[in-house]
Amino acid sequence: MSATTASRPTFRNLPRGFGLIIALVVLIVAASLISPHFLNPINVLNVLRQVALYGILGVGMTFILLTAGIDLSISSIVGFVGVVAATLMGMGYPILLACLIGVGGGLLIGVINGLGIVIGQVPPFIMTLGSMVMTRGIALMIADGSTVNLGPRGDEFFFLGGGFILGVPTPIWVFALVCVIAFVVLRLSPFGRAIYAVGSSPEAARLAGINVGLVTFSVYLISAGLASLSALIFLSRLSVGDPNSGVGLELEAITIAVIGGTSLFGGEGGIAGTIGGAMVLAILANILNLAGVSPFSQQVVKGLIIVFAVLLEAGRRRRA
Amino acid sequence: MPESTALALQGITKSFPGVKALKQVSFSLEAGEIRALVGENGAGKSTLMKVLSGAYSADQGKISVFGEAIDNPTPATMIGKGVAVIYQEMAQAPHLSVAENVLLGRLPRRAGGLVDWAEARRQTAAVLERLGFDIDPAARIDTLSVAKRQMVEIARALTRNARIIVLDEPSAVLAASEIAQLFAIIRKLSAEDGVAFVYISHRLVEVFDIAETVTVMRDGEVVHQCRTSEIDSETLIRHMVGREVGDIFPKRVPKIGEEALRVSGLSAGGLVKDADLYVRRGEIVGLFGLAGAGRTETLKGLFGADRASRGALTLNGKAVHLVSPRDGLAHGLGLVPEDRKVAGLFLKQSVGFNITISSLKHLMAGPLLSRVKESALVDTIIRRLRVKTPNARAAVQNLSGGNQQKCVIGRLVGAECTIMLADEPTRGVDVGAKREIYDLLFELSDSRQLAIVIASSELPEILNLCDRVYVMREGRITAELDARQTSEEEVMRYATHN
Repeated sequence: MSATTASRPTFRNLPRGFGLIIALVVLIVAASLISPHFLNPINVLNVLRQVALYGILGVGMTFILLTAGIDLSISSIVGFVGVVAATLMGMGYPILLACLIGVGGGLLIGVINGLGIVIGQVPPFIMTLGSMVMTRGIALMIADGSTVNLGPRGDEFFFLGGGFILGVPTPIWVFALVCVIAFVVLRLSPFGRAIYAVGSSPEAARLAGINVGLVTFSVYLISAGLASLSALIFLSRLSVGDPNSGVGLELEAITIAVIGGTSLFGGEGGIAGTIGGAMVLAILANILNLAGVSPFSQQVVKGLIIVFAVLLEAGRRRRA
Repeated sequence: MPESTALALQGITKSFPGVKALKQVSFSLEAGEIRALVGENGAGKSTLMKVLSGAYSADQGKISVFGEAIDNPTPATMIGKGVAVIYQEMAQAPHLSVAENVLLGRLPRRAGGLVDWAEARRQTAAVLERLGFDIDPAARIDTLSVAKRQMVEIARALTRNARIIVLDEPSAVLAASEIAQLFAIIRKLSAEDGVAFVYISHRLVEVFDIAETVTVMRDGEVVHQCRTSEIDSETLIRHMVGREVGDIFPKRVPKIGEEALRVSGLSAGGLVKDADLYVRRGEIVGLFGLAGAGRTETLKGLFGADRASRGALTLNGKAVHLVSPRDGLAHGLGLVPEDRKVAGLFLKQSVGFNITISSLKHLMAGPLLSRVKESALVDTIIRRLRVKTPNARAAVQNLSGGNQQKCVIGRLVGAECTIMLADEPTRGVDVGAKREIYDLLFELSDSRQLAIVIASSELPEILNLCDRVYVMREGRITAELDARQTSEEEVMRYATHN
């Protein structure tokens, strides 16, 4: 075959996400069989809202994992940013300003992560583990260990997490916007290419003229930014700043990205998979809820899914 | 000893995709014999060594140790049969003690399964003393010099009752006095204990010093075997390099233009010192040297990939100071790295990705990449460089070595480099693909007036491709030769000590 003609799709070069689509279809069918409530519009919107809340974090984690990094601090950023914004709103600051300052605080954690990893050469796992603990501590200090009330501005702010636009919950719109931007950046910008290049081989990336340090720094900033955004949505839904909110979300985000086909070893994966991963996890949680499975057992199931998803990837690698 | 033949290899053949690394290799080793194994880089010495250690299994052929045929050699069985291979890159646990490394996996136990440390130190001290090594069994490995680490490896081999020890270029990292000490130990073990040695080295002086017999390999075959007393070094070199070059190498008349790159006083990689060289447009310059001569370091220093490099660099008549590869690329320099799979390619990505990654800024439409411009460039490169791939989206890791290398070269062509620094551009590709890469380099040199520097440890490649040759030894340029006038023997003389 001539090198310039387009190849016909064969079974072997089916997109990686094919298995994911099948899994989603199976889950949806199973869910509607298990519970008649599953396809009820209210439940569907509920599931989608869930997809959005966790999906935003999954998108951030996808950027990180594509560079073969990891960011554990996002869960604490969710708590920290929420407490900062809540405190400022409680003090009477305008909503937008409170949110901006909160996001600024979240980005600062991202800057610290990025500097530690790029300049200090601290392994990402250790760096973000440290900032995860530290950031949670700061959140608890600010809130003095208890929750923070939003005050009179809470009702107005509720729109971000609990409101609707054209009948669709606001977080879903936010998530859709995040996904579109992330998709375009990863697929159609030089920066996106550089992310895949760094994750494939940092040395080859350096020799190909890529500023590896800047790219690495940027993904931690992106991850922190998206964590801050989701912090505001959580805050808006809960209507109260909780320094303990977000605990465990980093694992949720990693699971979403990995189920979506993003490799923990960098260079492989993308946003479409992450959306699918978020849906799988949200539908699964919904099924378990509808079936009345206890939250404790749900954790067991989630843990098994993480292991299973990584096992599948390991198997795929061995065959490759 | 009932069986005096320690090791016999018969018809060992080993292929890798696209490359036949060993062809019908046979030789034998008597107990107590010290045999040198020599050959150029790529001659198949390291593959043979990995077959001996059980790391690779041969496609064909028989290995027998003391008359016993080994059917399915694994590293464990080969160690069990008394074959120890000591690599240049020693496989040691740097944070553990000498005793732990010597007895790794076989530490003596006390009742209850706990390690008997006193006994471990006693055993280690005993073997070190027998060898005449002055090393503290309790010292951590990473506090020792490279020479002492090598001694620890030998001690480890002996505690495993090794009867056959293969040493891979042991002297490359040793000082003269340490080499003398190593040789004394080799002689002692050979004479007193009947241990047989295979001694792999580039340094012919040592070969004549230590070895009784020598086996010469070239292109995966044994081309000559004899006693070292029956041969001189000129003849040995001829056997090592004197292949039928035939028509692998295309011919051309270079159209040499203006000076493209000049560096004076280059120091790089902690190895290269005071190197002066230049290359003109349309010219192909070779950089020859044995392992550790500083070829790679020189190219990286020129390219801006080595932050610690110093020297006055002039590109196309302008003095420049490069601080990063990005900087080098912006000035029209391009590097084809030595390690294609790690430093050259993004193996997980597509052919198109690999080709365009350094020229994305030319492929923009507004703020985003233009798919149209991108595929136009990729198609042009694939066609011009004759990259054999089903399409631009195919994973680059599924291409053959030669086609992978074309992707790396194509990336530089796409980025419109005017000076190409190619480090071992044909390493690990088969003969046919080599010819294609040579043709490609000639074509780029002729049609684009590209200035090309090729670093290689393969003499025929250097002499037949290049117009001029710089020879390096131990970080210094020892000669500048006209490739048409010189001979392999002359180049080899400048590259080695004699």
